[in-house]
Amino acid sequence: MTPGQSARANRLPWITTPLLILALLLAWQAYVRLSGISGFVLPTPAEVWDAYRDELGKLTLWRHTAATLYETVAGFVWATVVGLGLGVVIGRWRWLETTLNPFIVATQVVPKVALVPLFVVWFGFGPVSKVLLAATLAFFPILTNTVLGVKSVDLGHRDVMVALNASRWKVFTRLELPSALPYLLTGMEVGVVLAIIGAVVGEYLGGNSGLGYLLIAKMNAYETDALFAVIIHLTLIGFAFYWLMGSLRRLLIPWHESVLIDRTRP
Amino acid sequence: MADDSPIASPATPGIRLRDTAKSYGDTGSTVAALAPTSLDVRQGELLVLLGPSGCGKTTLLRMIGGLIAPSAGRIEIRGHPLWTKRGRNQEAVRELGIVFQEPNLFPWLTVEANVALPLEIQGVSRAARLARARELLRLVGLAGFEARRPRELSGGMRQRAAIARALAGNPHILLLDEPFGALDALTREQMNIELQRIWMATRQTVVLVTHSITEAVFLADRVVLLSPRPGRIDNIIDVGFGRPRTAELEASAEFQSIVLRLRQRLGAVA
Repeated sequence: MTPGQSARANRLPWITTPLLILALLLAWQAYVRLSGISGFVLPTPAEVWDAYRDELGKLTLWRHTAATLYETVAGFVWATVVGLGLGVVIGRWRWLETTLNPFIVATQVVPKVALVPLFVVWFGFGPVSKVLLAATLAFFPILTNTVLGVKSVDLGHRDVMVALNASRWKVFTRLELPSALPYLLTGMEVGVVLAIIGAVVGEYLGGNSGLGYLLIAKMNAYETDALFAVIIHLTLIGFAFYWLMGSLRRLLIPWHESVLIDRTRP
Repeated sequence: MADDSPIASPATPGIRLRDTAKSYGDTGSTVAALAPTSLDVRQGELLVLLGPSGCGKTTLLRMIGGLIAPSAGRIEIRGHPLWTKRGRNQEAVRELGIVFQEPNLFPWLTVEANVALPLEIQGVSRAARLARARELLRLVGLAGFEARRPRELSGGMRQRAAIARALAGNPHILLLDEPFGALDALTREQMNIELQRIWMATRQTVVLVTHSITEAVFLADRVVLLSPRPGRIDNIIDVGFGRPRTAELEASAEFQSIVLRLRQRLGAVA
């Protein structure tokens, strides 16, 4: 590819993507207008936009947003701390992995949403049960990726540390941790999205705060346009977390292939 | 190399092997990788272990480097036993620098931080270890690449950085395990000349493993020819050419006759 071509390829999405979004919105608007479908089932994009602007001006939306953000972040942080700590220990000692494996698989295969009633019984309708669900969902990918990362330390790199007579601690901080970091970040990327799901689903099922609760409230009030608005709001929050994780990746592992490839890709 | 250790007089061999052997597997079904081997490597000597694949040359080098324990026999590094009842002897390990087949540089560290790694692990201050890393990078011809990442270097440059890292702890003995095996022929020739230059500047005891006969004859004071299944010393050949040796030397009749002798011997044992 010539430099001119690649520059064009770089600019292209800035034009094509908005155009595609615009086309989809126009088709949506046209479909609702032409089919005469009820606004309770499918509002027009214009109505959704009005409803969203309306919601953005209300304190309620921000109160619920704060609740969901808190549950997501708290659950995610817990999942990361426990997942990283346990992952490092399990990845290091093979016998521990063999011993704990049935339990780890069990926590993976149990439909975690099924735990919500239990969490509510134990911790009530407050934020704790939602934090716990968010953490439970986000925990597994973080744990498994950390274990994988610790186990995938390059044997040649290990030889270097053995030849240098490095202490256990130095091997951990100078080799195992940096080696496992890209894996941990991949786990966190998956985990943060699951944490949002955990928080919202938790809010469906109990309590009176959070965007999940707001969704249910809008559904019950037949405010479909506002329902769409909250979905868009949640999507934007998801984007924000995704972007944050990408930034963290670029900040922490600028040397890694996953970052370098993105940088050179058109 | 300054001789600061009281135990190692100039007469003490840099490396002494006595009936050193390695076998793998459980009792009853062991496979001998290296038959009992005795060898003295003189201080300041550049010794090459040459042999076909399966002759145990890498196994031998990794044992000298303390990466694997011998099944039997002794290894002494400048008079220090490498293995004691309590495991690897730190004093002996400190004398060793190892260059592997792969550069094995840490991709998350800059080139100078990679070279400084041994000193960091020893607890040398940041300023001192970076100064030493820069000095070594000059020695191996990588001045100006201090802040680069390993992936930005060519294969030959990475291996130069790996040599610099092996030298960082100022070891008396440098072990190289087919260090240029992954490089193209042209780069490999240049690296041999570079290695000779570095060795002439530091005068360490060097043990290099290779399966290239010309590389062995070009670099070695002595070539130790190993034969396979199980690995054992077949022959030791003195190579008396003066230094620095140049690419022209390889065309000389004397050089070619040693190469031919080794090639015939290798053909017989492989």
